[in-house]
Amino acid sequence: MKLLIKGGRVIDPSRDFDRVCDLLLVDGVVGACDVDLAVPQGAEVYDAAGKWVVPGAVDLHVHFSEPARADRETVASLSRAAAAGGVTTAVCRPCADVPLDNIALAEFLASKNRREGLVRLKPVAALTRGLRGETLTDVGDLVTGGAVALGDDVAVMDSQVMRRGLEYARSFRVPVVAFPEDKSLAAGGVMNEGFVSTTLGLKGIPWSAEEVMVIRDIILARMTRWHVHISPVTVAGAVELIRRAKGDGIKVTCDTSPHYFRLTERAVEGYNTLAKVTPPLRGERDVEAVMRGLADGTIDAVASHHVPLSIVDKDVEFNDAAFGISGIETFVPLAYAALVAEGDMRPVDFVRLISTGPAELFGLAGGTLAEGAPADVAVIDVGNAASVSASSFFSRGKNTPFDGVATPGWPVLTVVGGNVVMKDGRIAAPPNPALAD
Amino acid sequence: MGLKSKDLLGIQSLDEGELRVILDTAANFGTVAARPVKKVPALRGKTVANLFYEPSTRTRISFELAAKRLSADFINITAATSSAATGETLTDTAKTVEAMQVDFLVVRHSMAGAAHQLARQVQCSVINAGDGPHEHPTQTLVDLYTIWEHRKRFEGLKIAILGDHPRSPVTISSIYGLKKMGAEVTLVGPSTLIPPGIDQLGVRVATRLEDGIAGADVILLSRVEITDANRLQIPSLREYARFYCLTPRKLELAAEDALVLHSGSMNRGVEISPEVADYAFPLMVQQVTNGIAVRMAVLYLLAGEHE
Repeated sequence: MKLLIKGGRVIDPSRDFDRVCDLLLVDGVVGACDVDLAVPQGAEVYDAAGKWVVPGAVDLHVHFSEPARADRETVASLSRAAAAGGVTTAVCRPCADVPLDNIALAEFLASKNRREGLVRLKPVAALTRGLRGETLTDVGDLVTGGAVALGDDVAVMDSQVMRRGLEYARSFRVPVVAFPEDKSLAAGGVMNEGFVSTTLGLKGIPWSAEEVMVIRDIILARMTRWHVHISPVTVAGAVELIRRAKGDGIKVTCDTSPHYFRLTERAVEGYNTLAKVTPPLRGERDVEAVMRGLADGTIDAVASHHVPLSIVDKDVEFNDAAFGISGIETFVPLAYAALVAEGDMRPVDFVRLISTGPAELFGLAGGTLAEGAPADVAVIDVGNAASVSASSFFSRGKNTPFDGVATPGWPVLTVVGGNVVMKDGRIAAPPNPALAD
Repeated sequence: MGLKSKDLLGIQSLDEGELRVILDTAANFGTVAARPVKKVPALRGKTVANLFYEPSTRTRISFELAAKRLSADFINITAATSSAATGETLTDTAKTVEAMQVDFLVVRHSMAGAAHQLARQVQCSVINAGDGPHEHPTQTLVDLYTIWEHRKRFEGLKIAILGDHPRSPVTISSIYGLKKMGAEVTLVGPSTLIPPGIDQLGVRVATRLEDGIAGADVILLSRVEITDANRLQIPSLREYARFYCLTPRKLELAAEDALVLHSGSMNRGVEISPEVADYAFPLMVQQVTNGIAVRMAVLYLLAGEHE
């Protein structure tokens, strides 16, 4: 199967390439990339004039809840949402619904995805059994079963467990993902601690809850000489700690999500449970620091931090509402608007943050349009703005604080392994044969 | 002049003019209780519903009497502790109660924001009768009324507030109300009990009781007890009492004839010594009477025209 994407602005950070030209996809891999390519026999043509042609987004932070809470998200609905969002590879994190702490759960995801999926879904396996932070999972088992990284998506509070986890993960060459929120400092908190939480009468989670864990995990990364990926980073001090650690040559990387640089804690005012997320939305200073971290390369990736929830999880008192934002369908345009359209980031640096950077961090397919690479491609419409419409999400989670926000940068074509999975908002029917292997 | 909003969710959204209208109206209703027939027809044909998600005898009865003295029909609805506990969302509850054609919904809930979330879903007037540690506007209005009754001014009055502030139902409302009326407010307590960022509301903070109440014209107290939620903020009640209990000797540091207002349910020997409790008790009883007049004023004004 051949697809010629014509006349778009092809941006490939892996080769520092940014030029208007044609891109040919042949038999599941990237082919020629040049101006005025002839249309090969039998090739489909997609007119990308005025649009960006980029390696598909690689999203390091998503969740699904099948089968425990299929009303929140199934593998199939996650896959459709990813395709709509221009995501060609999504990394599924463990959560209470699906702890991903044994090979059976990893296999469940893989087999579901082969039969019902459209994009590449890879698990981050739990570092500890039951996400309890006490004993290590069978790490080697999980890695050979497809896990691309290890991490509980809650803080591992016991430093010895974290240290041994890092050492053990090193022998299997997979990074450890650290969720930076000290459970004791954050206990009972429902939003950022400060003036706003005080005036709302809500219990706060202080910035220190994040920095305490970040500094500890940097120290353990130095001690074990192994890769800690901190996810997500939301406070100014944490950005600075990571900046310095990188300067010291410590193997630490990190990501953040659009809500941490587009919204502040004030989004919670009026007890808006859709803005309840963990870590919590922070203050102005933090937003500025996260933006600077994205600009200077301290922050390696933008992920969606996609936590799809049911309306019953959110339509309750603020204290009782579940934490999380459904983000996989909107994170590319929301990040594009903030960083490029309203910011001054170079397009190639933006694409690195959503694709090439994260692919390299976890050793994933995609992130490049080099000839011979898997044909994982997205076309982004940077010229036209449209509003976020939660009710139209393919995800089962309609929980977004961005509903109604107009933004440019929407994906209009998503190709995974050479197969078109989304075209002009229409999602292909699964399975995607490229996922069979 | 009336109130701008159909709801009374907090003192935060009221301006000084509205606060004065409420106090003036309450003064008028205060005379009703002194009559042989303690009833006026102002709200005849209206229905007031108390929707209480947590027990509260004092506030519940005060609203009930206020509604009845205005000739309104009145019902009490006792709900479970939260919508999560019943599986019925706040929205469902609100719509159901509204279908009963009530005109006022008086909401008490242990969680901050519950009344605000309800108010968005209904057409009727919602009155926040305490949403956990957030606001308890009518209690603050009663305090303001009593202070006005005794001092006839707020400008320049020195007010000290003591209590378990992060959990107190009245600290935030009191700060808003007193600051809007021009008083000087000092929050007293150990640093663990001072809410983050509170200085941005223009209050002074005193970690020593002696500093906090020096020259105070009014001292506002609320109940202090130890629970799972605050055991890391108060080492023990004995220790709290040693440093923060309002005793006759400490009270001497305040202005002469300082008003001591306790929001109810005293923990004698903890935040207030038995002697000062006896001194403050007549005022607390007076507050109960004033509470009915203030709540009558709130119901009456909310029933009027809004912007």
